[in-house]
Amino acid sequence: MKIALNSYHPAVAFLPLAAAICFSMLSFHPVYAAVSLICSMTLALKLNGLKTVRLSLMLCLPIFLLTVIINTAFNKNGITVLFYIGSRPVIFEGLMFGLCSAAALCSVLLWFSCYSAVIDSEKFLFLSSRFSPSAALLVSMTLGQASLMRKKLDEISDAQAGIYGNERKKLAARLHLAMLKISVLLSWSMEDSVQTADSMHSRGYGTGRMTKMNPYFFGKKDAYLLSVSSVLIILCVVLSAFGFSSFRFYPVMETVSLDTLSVFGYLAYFAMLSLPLFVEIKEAFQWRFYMSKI
Amino acid sequence: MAFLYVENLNFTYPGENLPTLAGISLEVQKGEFMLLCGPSGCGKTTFLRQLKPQLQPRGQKDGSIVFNGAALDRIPEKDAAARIGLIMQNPESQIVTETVKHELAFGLECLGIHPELIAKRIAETVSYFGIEDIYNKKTSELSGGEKQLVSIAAIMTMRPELLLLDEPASQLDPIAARNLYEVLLRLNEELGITVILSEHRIDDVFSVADRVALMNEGRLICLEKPNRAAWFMAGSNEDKIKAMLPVPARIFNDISGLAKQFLPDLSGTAQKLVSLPVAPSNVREVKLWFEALAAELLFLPEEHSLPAKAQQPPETNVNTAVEIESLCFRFDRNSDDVIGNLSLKINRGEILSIVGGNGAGKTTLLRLICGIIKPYSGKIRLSNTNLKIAYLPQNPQSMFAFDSVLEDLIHIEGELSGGKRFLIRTGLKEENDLEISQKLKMIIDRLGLESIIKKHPFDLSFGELQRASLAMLLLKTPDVLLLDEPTKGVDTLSKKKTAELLKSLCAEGMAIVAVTHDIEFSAEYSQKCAMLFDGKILDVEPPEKFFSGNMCYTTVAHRIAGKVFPDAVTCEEVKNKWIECAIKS
Repeated sequence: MKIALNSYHPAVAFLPLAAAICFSMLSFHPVYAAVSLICSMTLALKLNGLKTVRLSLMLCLPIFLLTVIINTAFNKNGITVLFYIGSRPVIFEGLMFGLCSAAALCSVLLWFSCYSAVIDSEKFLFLSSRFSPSAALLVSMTLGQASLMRKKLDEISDAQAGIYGNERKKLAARLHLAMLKISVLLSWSMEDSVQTADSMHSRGYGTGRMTKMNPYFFGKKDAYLLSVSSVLIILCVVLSAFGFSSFRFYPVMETVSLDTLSVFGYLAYFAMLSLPLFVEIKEAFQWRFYMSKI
Repeated sequence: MAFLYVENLNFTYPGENLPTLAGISLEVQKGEFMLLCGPSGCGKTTFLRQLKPQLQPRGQKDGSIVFNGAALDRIPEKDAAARIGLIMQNPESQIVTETVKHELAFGLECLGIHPELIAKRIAETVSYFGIEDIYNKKTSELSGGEKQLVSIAAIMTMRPELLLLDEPASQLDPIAARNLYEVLLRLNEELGITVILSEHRIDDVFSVADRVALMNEGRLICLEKPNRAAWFMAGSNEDKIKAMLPVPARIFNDISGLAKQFLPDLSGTAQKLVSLPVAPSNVREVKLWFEALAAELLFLPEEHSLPAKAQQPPETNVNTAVEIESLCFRFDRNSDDVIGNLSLKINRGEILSIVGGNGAGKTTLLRLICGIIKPYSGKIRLSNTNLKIAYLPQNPQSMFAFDSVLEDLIHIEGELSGGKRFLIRTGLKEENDLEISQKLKMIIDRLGLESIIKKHPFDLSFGELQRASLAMLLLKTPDVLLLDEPTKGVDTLSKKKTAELLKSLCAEGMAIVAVTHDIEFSAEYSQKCAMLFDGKILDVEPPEKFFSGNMCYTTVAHRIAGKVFPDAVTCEEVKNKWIECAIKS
């Protein structure tokens, strides 16, 4: 499926997702956690489709249950006892705390899955190269080398099978072959890296300050999205600074406040987190509308 | 003033007695396409590197190099980096970054060019090269040919005036190599870029180059137009120079030499043909010339064009080592079969060469025979259970773990005999540790490795490296030897040496299977040829039968002489047939 966020400048797409990850990690409030979980799951479903279902069932659900169970079983910080299992009390506050932290944990996971769908290694490199072009080059070279080395290792394994045969060997012999393999890989890669260095020098590496190619375009829609997300993020940061996103569980859980300002805070948080989803849905509708005109 | 002017260039590597380059003087005109050739170790690479200031090796150097009116050493670094581009041999290692996009930008980034200009230059270059389809890929996903193309494109974004290429096609298959040459010619013709191309497989570019520079032992021995250079090579009394002669020129030379013996008796037309002032050097010209001369001189019996070959008797005393029966293999449950229903017999005492295009599954087939991967159906039947199969991979670098060839050999011998096993980099310290067994000594002698045995494997030429790895495999005394592209990156003389060795191994009853792109090798040295296509072996035939039926997928010699001698596929055969016929008439 086409991802609408990919058509935005990486920095613009990065900002709301990074903010979502940070807020989900830092704010500890039942409403905030619920909003974050819902938003992240919907967005992940939109971006990754079936993969999200698998991720949710295989990873998030077990983590969620485990967190809740461990918290309920071992957390003795509250005072409201629900019931006893044997002689062990099950405490309401502990259960709620577990639920809340489980939701936060899962939403962070899901946000990361959204993040990796939108910001691939190339975009991340581009963003980080703003701070250090040579570090970005290093990462790029390392990634390139890694796949090359894997290929070489396969070839070395083949060569060893070709000479020593491929029947199953004793552990000592296997270890010995593995060490030889590493030795071959090292000298081969080093030999090649001399040539890579030559290739870099011959193209003027080290002759002065490097620049960084910019394959991305910053347009009007990037400006819109950037300003909207910045306003929402600033709003949420200010509200958090005034303590709207913190919540007291112990010794007695406070009630969820529903005064105007708090509700405004929830709405602002929801707006911030649903911004990427909004972009996706908007583009989908736009496309459908466009198609219907044809 | 010439564009590039080299005068009396001498160069000696530190610690060497003999100079690597001795008194080289040459001029290259702007827009020239120069082919630099010579046997391996003649100093081609060293010479090219002298022309690229960033990569000049350390050593004692004198003489002058003037580039576009300025001494090369005086040109500012950034200028020299941009104006002189160098492409090296290995497609993999000269790629620096992870993505094609970044690779194209790399040089410009190094030069500190403004990002907007970088984007524009890349767009222009990608469109010119027509590589839009790989622009968004990762460099690790590209084939060798595509990698070399990206390397050239990456240099072209820097707008060079001089392009130096150090055997850029030696690691590529023939189709990719031809593609690369076409790109180079286009750059030369359309953009006027001066090209100096060093190559040992020169057949494809020989006749299109403006001039050919021939080097031997550090000296420039000939700098002429291709046809005159061919004449020079043919007249050389050194085998290694003669061996480089491209096939069309060789046929022209051999046949006109034969015909000249009877020069006074020849008819007028024939005399004219034999003593052409300008010798033809490409396939088309030589083919026309050959056919005209044959019509003039030879009385070809009518049935000769349709050889009434005696039906070959069914082979009786073949000794099959491995029999493959309807083999099927695929990498993935949902992918297509790479090998589908393949049957093949591998006989002792035969070199079987399997040719086929890129991705036809040649390497996969060898890995199956070797047992590295398992087929999902079909059988590989060995003639006896302790039949030994050895496999030489495409990159012999993957076999060397120690600091010298000898250490590697001794180690493998110990390993195979289950004897003492020494640990990496701690095993051999002193001379007398290197006990050379009788068997090892025999193999070293047989392969002529005496002179390179103390060297580090990576200091060897590709051909030497390959022979050293063959020595490792021979320690196993294999019954079946599988070779993956044994001629890749190997110069003509080494190729011949290796081939002679394979022949003698065969005569001792070894079964040899070589998968290769190299049609000439396959025609000249194998007893049986087979083509792997669409996961199947189509037919297994002796080379003269196999290649004589083909029109384009055949040897250069057959393309030239096929009309006259339908069953001659190598230069040697063409020559012999001619002698036979000439005697008849």
